Amino acid sequence: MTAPDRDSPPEETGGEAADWGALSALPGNPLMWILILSELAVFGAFLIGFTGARIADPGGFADSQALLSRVDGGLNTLVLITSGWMAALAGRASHDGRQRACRGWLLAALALGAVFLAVKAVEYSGKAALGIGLETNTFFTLYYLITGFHALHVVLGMVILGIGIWRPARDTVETGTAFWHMVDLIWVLVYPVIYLVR
Amino acid sequence: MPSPDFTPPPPRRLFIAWLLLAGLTVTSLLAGLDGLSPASTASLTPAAVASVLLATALKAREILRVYLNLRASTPGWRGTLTAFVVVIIAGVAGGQAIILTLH
Repeated sequence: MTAPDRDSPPEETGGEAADWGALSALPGNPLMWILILSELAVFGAFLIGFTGARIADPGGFADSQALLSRVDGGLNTLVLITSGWMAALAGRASHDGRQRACRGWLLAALALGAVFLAVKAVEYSGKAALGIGLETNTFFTLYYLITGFHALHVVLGMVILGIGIWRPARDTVETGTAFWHMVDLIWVLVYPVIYLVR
Repeated sequence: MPSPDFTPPPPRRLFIAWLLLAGLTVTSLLAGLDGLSPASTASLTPAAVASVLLATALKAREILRVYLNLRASTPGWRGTLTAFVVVIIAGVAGGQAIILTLH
């Protein structure tokens, strides 16, 4: 018979919940939602700016886009959404007080985040080998800016997931996984705009 | 007014969301290739672009509603977050329409 997974009760921050007004109607930490809204606005502006630049030079953007691996980008999307699923399972396990399972799912999500970054590193090094850099043309300036900024969010998200593994208090896990889902959501928007639409 | 129930979705619903997201990712990749070579520079047909963007919108909706658990929030917040995604996708679709018109 296996030991129950409920190794300790879920930790709460305790005390009276602060009144965040309308933000109280959102699940998790309201500050995380402010960040999510801000990041969506920033990446939204990036993507619309990218589209605006493409209007000026659709042929040049299509030629540059053909140098990216659309299939690898799709596979990396699958990696990140699978990581998001693991993070969501961690959130559910944390809610149910199953901290060991929560830690395991967080670790799996974090590992898949590392796979995503590894694929991105291979992609960047492939471009560098072709002599393609930040200043090659407008497409690649925006490509490196947008995907590089997103990759930094992946790194930060992995750190936050790591904190959740170390100290799996319910609030920490809820906030950390919300950040991870935001990173996932942004990539879901970035991938088709940069890799597919032409 | 009672406070909302923010219980995360059950594992089965999370799995269904993942299945949908994976299926939509494959759909958008196939639509983005549009039967062409993976390194093609040829423009996508309007139907292929529409398929890619529709799949993207559905994926964003699923992440917001299930993984970020917005289904437990108010219609106002669901609408606000959905509007963000719609504006981004509409901007990309509008840009594509301009390119098709001008070039």
